[in-house]
Amino acid sequence: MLAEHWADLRYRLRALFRRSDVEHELDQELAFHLAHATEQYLAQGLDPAEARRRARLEFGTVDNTKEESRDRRGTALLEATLGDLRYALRGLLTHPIFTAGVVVALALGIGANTAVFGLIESVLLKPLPYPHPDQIVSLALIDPRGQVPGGGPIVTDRAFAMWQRDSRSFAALAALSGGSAVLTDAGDVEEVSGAEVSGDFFSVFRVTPLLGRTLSAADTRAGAPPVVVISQALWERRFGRDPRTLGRTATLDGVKREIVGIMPSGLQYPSAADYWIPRDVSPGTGNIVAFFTAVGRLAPGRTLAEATAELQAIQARAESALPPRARGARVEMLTLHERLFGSARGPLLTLLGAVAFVLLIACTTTANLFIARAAARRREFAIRTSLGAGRGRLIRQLLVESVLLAALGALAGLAFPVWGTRVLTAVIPSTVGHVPATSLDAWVLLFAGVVALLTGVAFGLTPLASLSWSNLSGVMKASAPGAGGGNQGRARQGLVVVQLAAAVVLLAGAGLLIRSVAAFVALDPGFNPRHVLAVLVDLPRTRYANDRARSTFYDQLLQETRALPGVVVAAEADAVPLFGFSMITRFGVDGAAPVGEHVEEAAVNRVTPGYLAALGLTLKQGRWFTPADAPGAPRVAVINEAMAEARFPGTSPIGHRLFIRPPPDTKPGTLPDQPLIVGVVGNVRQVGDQIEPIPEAFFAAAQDSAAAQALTLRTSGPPLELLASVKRTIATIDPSVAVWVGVDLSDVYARTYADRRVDALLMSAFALVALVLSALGLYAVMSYLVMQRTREIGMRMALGASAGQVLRLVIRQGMTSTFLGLGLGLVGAFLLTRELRALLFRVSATDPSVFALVAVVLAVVAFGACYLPARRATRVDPMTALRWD
Amino acid sequence: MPDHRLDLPQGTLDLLILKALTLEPMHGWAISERLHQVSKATLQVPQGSLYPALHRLERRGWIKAEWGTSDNNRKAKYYALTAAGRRQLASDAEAWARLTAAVALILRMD
Repeated sequence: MLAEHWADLRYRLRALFRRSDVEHELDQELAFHLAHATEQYLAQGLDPAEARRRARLEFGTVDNTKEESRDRRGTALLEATLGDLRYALRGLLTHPIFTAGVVVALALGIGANTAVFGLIESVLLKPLPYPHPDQIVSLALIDPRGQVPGGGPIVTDRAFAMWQRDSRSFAALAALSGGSAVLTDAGDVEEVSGAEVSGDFFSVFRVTPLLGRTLSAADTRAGAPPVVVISQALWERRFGRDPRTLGRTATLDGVKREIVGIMPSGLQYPSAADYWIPRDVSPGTGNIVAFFTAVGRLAPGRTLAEATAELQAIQARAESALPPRARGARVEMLTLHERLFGSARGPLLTLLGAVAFVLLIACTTTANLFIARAAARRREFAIRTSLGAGRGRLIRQLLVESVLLAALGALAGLAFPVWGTRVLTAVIPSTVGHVPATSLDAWVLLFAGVVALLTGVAFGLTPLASLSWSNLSGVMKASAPGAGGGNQGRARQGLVVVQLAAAVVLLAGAGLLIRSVAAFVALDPGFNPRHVLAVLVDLPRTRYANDRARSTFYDQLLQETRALPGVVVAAEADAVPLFGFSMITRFGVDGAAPVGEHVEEAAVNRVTPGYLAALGLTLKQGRWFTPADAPGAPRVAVINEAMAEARFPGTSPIGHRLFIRPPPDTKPGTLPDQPLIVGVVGNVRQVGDQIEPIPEAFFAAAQDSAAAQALTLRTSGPPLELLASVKRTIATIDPSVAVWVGVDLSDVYARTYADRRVDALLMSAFALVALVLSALGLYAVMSYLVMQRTREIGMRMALGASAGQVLRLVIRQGMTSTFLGLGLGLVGAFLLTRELRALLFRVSATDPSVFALVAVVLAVVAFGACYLPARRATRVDPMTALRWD
Repeated sequence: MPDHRLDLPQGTLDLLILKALTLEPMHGWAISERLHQVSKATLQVPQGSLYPALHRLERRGWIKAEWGTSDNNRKAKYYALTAAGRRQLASDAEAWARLTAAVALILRMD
């Protein structure tokens, strides 16, 4: 058995690599045979010429025998394919325009697919680069209303402390607070991002430092020397990879810290963090609640579900001490990967769907070009058939050509993932968070290869359907360019229908996403986010234990920032729209205590008088706060429209009094002064555009004992340019106070719909490509049909058909394809756009106006594509047409 | 003159070539002549298919080829039966005998 295989292999290898020897031997062998046969006939008395003739006749075609003998060698397929490849290359090089067109179309299709696949691979398929990444989880506490205050996945310091004490599910549990700091030594002043982390943070990720050590619980204790661990990136950027960096100090937000460790670039949590500093996250004694991000590493063998159930049980035990309405917080635990990238899955898969359609269109375009070329090559095929090439042989030839083209397209398209993902990641940072670098790894290359192969086979086979094989021999006789072309005309029209349908699907998707963005932009957030700097500071609990100390700090901060050049209006508030947290309280009205179910809940926002102007709120009724609303003056309140409509439907709320349940520490019998409603402002979407405005009550901060904590500055220039001077101001008041958040509000606002805008942009780009390609396809087919029917048209005109009739004739034919494609595409869009539902905003997935508009756009473009060839048809000169051959 | 020579049933050419080579190594022409003679001129060996068959058998390792000199001093490619070829011939011949016996049996039934 083995020997047989060995003989077989040796034989084939010799046939392949010593080809000329083998060929020569075959020639000799056959010549020897013929010589013998000839001799035999000579011996029978025939003359030499006749003897040779008989011998040959008896033998059959020498070439056939040779060919068959070659086939028996078992290397024929490979050899022929190599031959086909050479032939295909030659053919492609002699038609550079055709080749370039196809390669570009395929490069677009395959490249876009590969780019999106590369992104999906690096975002969704690749595990996080930490040991046992599936054990790393992200924790959040969702309040009973189902909303996450502030929008992020956060936990309170109290809940975290409880979990840390009571849970047995984790190998490590860490809390952290991401932020940024100003680095003021070792070169230029630079704002770097990083995090304050609890002692167990590095045990969660288990990343070994490049140099030095990580942080531990000892570093977070009060009185421990200030230290910092920096990133490899910062080490390279600011310290030139100097190994003596350890032990040097880095001044972050004015605090000198000893650099004790350098983490490799693999540690990307929080994303692009440059420093990690220790923080004590245990709850303070005051009533201020700190919010953290929490991550954990599950103990070996513990599942996500078990750990979630355990924490939920711990939470329920703690909540039993709370009043019923404060209970019901839900523990949400996801793998860190899911937390970081889960929200990107929908948009990415949608993107993949869209680029698949682009590939479909690229394929049909190519198939169309191939059919056109096959038509031009009918003669060539006919000749080869008559010379004995089998049908299989021609199919192989076509496939070799198409796969070669697809491979070239894929090769050209591989440039795409390189800059394509760069573009994609540049435009979708907020969807995806931190995108790991996409590289052309083996999976991406494999994907491109498979797509190219399938693509090549798919469009390579289409011309076969259009060539009627039985007629091939007849082709040689026919010379009219369109002879036997009805069949391919139909095939090409079919492809155009498919293209138009795909274009309709993409157009519909793009239309729906554009409408979503438009709905977003049209939405009035109730404030003007432009030129607003929002700053949230973190007051150390030890030094700011009471309201008075906090008020003093905030008052001074407001005074000093108001005087900064570039500040138009300065204000403080509990809540800045899209940011910060609101307390939610229950109100009664006009002396009635809030009881039962029919009381209003409203967000409380204590603000300084500048808040209205700083954020550009609109006053609807009455007045806003003035500096006169001071501690001694009557307490006043302003409510928003949502609260006015809910509590005072149809009447003016002005002049009524809110009733707030006195705080528990109020002396019995003394009811605090109940605030008088003096004005109504327009609704502000505090939580973001997705959530309808909730009732909100504003109070004058000056009349309240607790201070507002968010600094809001309307600036004359770009807000972030002021951040540095605000930070300096804070440092002069108290260097121990850190800026927790300092953002341009318009950035935050743009982020709330940036994903939608990018989705719409990408989809529109794809749809535009699809529309152009399918219009060109239709135009090409119509031009071809007009050319093919030149004689018929000329005849009709000679018989008295008017130009208008000819025009109608041609356009009718083109529009038939158009309406078929349109119908098919609308059905497809109807079925597919529902997959977009998660990405849509205030638009139905089958919005009739979008579908109608798509139909109109497509019909108009298609009409244009038909009209030009039709016009050409009317200019056919009957005499030329009749002499066409 | 009507041609009374028989066409070879499919697949039997291999068997006949192997059988012809049992006596001594032969070149292609000799094989075709021998088959013609031994079958008393009743078998029409399609000469065009002889060489592809030889190459196929060589590839399977049943025969091996060597260049030699023919009786009239010309270079010729001689084919010889290998051990594997001998085994193949034995099993093929047996299968053939069984087949023909069975066919004969059926043909005799009426």
